[in-house]
Amino acid sequence: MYRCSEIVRLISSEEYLTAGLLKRLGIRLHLAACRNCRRYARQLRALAAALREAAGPVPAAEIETAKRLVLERLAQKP
Amino acid sequence: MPEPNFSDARFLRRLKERDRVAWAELADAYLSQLLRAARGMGFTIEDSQDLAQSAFAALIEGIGRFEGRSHIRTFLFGIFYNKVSEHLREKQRAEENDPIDEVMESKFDLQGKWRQPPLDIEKKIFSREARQMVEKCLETVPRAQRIAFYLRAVSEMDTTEICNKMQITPTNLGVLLFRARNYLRECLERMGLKRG
Ligand SMILES: [Zn+2]
Repeated sequence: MYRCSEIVRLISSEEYLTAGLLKRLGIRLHLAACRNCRRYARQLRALAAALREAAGPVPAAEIETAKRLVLERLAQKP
Repeated sequence: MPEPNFSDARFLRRLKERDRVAWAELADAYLSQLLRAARGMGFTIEDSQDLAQSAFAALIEGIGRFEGRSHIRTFLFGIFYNKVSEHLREKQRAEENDPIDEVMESKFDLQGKWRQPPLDIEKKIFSREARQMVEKCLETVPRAQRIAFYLRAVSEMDTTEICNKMQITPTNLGVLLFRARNYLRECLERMGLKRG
């Protein structure tokens, strides 16, 4: 049986993705029995969603500047 | 916004002929994505501009050799990720020790059990000021960890691809992801405590 500390490491490093069947089964069993680790795992999924959310749109002015620079570069002799 | 068909042979020819309108279309489609990715990975506005510019400059230079076998977006982002990894060649390997490792160790007792249940951070994550808080907390995450986490969670790259792009081993990547997630989680937990 895995310890909570090991489960936390396996989940947050995503090592479980490459784990063998037995290891994955062990993780599943632990999660089924342990409320704290389930809660932790759920929080990590929420974190990923929050990260996607935080990477908000870039201000239009920045994009305009970038575009102008690209077109200037294009106008230079090859 | 639906993407124009950039894989079209005629469009590619216009790019090779340095057709300004074609390049402007390409810039409209991808510049914002490049800038957003760079900002999301924690680069400053200036560095993000530099990265996006140098990716486009390399594309302008290399378009003659591009044969259209892959999608031009893939090609452009390939260049971009190379620039990103050049930008932090030495920094991206996981450091041997990081303060977060100790913080995490202290959360468990000798049997490896949680000393106390992980505090609720979901209320924070889904609150109205969440975005600001997450951004603030992201600033505390070391660069290489943040990039790894971004590529995984936002770009949704698979782990092998990230290892190739960042030129690190799967073990290294695991360490970076472990630290990034827990830094961010810890920071949100602390903010939650402060605001009650
Ligand atoms: Zn547990």
